[in-house]
Amino acid sequence: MFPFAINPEKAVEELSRFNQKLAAGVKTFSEVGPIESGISPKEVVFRDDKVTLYHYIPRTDNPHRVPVLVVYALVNRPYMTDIQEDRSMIRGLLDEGMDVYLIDWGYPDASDRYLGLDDYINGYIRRCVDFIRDRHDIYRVNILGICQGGAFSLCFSALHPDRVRNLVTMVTPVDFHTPDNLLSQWVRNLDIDLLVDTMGNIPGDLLNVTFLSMNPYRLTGQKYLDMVDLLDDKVKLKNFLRMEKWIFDSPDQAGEAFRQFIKDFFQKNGLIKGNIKIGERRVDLANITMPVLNVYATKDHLVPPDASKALKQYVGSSDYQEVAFNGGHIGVYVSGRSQKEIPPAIANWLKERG
Amino acid sequence: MNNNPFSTDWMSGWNTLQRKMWEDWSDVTQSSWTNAWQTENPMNFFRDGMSRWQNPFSPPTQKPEAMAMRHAMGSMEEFMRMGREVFKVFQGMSEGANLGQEWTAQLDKAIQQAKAMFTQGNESLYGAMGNFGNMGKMGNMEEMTAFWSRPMKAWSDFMGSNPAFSNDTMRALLAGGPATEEALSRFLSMPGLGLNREKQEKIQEGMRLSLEYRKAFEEFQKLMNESSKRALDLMHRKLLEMGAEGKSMETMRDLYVLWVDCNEEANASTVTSKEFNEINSRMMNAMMRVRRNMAEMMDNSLAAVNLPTRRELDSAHRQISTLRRRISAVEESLHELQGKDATSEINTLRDDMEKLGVRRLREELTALKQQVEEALTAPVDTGAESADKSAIKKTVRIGNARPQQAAAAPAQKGE
Repeated sequence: MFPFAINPEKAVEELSRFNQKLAAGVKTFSEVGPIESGISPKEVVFRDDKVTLYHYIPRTDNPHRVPVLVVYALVNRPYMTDIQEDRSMIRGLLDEGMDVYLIDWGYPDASDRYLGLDDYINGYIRRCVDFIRDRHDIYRVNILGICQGGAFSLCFSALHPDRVRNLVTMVTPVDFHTPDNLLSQWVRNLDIDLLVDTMGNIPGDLLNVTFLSMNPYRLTGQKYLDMVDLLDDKVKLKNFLRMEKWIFDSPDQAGEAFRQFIKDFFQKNGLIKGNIKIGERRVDLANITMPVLNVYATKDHLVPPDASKALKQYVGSSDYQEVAFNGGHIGVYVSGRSQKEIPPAIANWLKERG
Repeated sequence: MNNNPFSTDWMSGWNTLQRKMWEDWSDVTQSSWTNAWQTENPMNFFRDGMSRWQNPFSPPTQKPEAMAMRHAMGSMEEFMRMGREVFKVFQGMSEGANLGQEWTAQLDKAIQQAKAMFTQGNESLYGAMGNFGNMGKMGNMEEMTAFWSRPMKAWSDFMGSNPAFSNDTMRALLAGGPATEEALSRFLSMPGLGLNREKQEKIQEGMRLSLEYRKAFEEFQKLMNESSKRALDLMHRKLLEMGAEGKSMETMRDLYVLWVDCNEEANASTVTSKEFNEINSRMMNAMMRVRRNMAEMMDNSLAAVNLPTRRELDSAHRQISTLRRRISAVEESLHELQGKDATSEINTLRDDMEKLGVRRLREELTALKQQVEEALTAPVDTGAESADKSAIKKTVRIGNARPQQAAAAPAQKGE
């Protein structure tokens, strides 16, 4: 049987219907209003160069006495963790009685080109942690590191174990050379020194095009065709646009930090080999002796599960637990199911450990 | 209507409709026009819509709603283009009149023709960097290839939108064609002479690097073309399977989804290959060498007219970073000197003590003290008891004495 039951009349009718939806959607677009980035009330409590430390207003009367510091990746913006009211990991943690802080790295420019990982980890993260310690009169804080921020948190915890009470890592790469790690394969033969020496800071758009290249037909075509079906629903459209804003809101990467991260972590797999030096000190994951909760996503195409789960073999902690989320790299903090599963799992785990 | 999609009863109107469609597609970006919405041409909606949507969002901004709308427009274009290509294939297939069971052979022929797009030389390569989405050149090779090769389009969009990568030189490098290559080769063989020898060598080096980039880009393009051909094979197979199972596509959207699925599958197998990693890296590295060479030449020109160069700015930025680190270190030293950290440490010790159960020990000690106090204040009954309490009292006093007093006692005794 001939597999096409499409004739020109039907096709034109279909395309016409599609076009009408899109034309009507212009009105919805005009009514959708500004796209906010981050919805939970928060206050700026500390600034350090372009870095801002936010404190979220607690949503319970007596929040947990040890605050949680969220350390996000340098690529993309951290408001993904608080993207909309019913899709906010931050709000979930606040509702569970956590006291939450978050580091916003800002947008590096040419004057930040020589910021290295030492500046980020022993500088910005440490000073944010120290600020929280002072503010709460405590010696150690809880840290929640996400993706690249998780890798930074591992380094920080290994270098400053006396400042970390409990460590939570989410979708964090540890073994960068698992066979299914596509990003790692792509950068294996890149001349990173040449790239950084030539470009200075690495444009966020270059990272965007890299991520899009993983699913170019879906992410640059089909997605927008599907969007047309949302155009008659203002709420759904706004949610789509929030995600859209986040996806393309990619700060440039400080050149030296990028150089070191790609070479030492991706190309040399130094985190598990123990040959990464941050400042003058070597990062030894065995120094991570505080309790560790490792959250990974079973369908993560950016940080494959095995890349995260490798952590178990290398940390020095005797209190190590894993949470497997049945979803992808982004779904782990924005999907409807994750709202019910992840924040409570993290909060309960932290509460059990004081 | 006859169930055969290529029966003549609707094919008579089809040719007219298709001609109008092509005309409208060509007009969309070429002409200014008015009142198209009310015209009878069924495809005018697209042209009218283009204008309506673009106006509220121009000039282009980075706002998400504008970006999403632009992407939606792009997808619409793609969707429409796919419709056009498919119709063209249908028409080609229907030229054989009665399809009957021959449709599989016709489909095979159509797929082979589509695959030929990716094997007919480098026409697409030389236009790839600047002409994606050029609706004015309907039906030519580069556009058809662009339609099927979305990763190349993503790369092209990136190159076009980012000032760091986009300039006439980079485009010219790719658009020059074999003639440029031959001319460059001749130029590169010329030895440098006299005062401008170094400058000439720098230019020659730049051109050599440019040729390398061209070759690397060509390699990349070929690899992606192979991927597109695999996608066509996949689509072919899936359509045959549908036919064998008695299933059929009901909408253009179904066809589009199938097209996306097949291309994603083919793309996934390409980008996970070792070959892709090597070719993609070669292209990026070659491109960076060209950019570096261009930046160096630019720096030399700027220095010649006493304008700031990239080298100088880098040096200034490096110094800024060093100063920032020093300031932070000084601030922290000052903070420590002011003793602010002591509070934190005391609290930490308290915290640790609490964890060790010191509170419980303290409570036990308080209870013991209370017992001692009670014992001391209780009425004296016997001489022996009185002597014991006196001893306890003395012990307590010694325990409370300042260290120097306690230390002084033996010496006095000695005296």
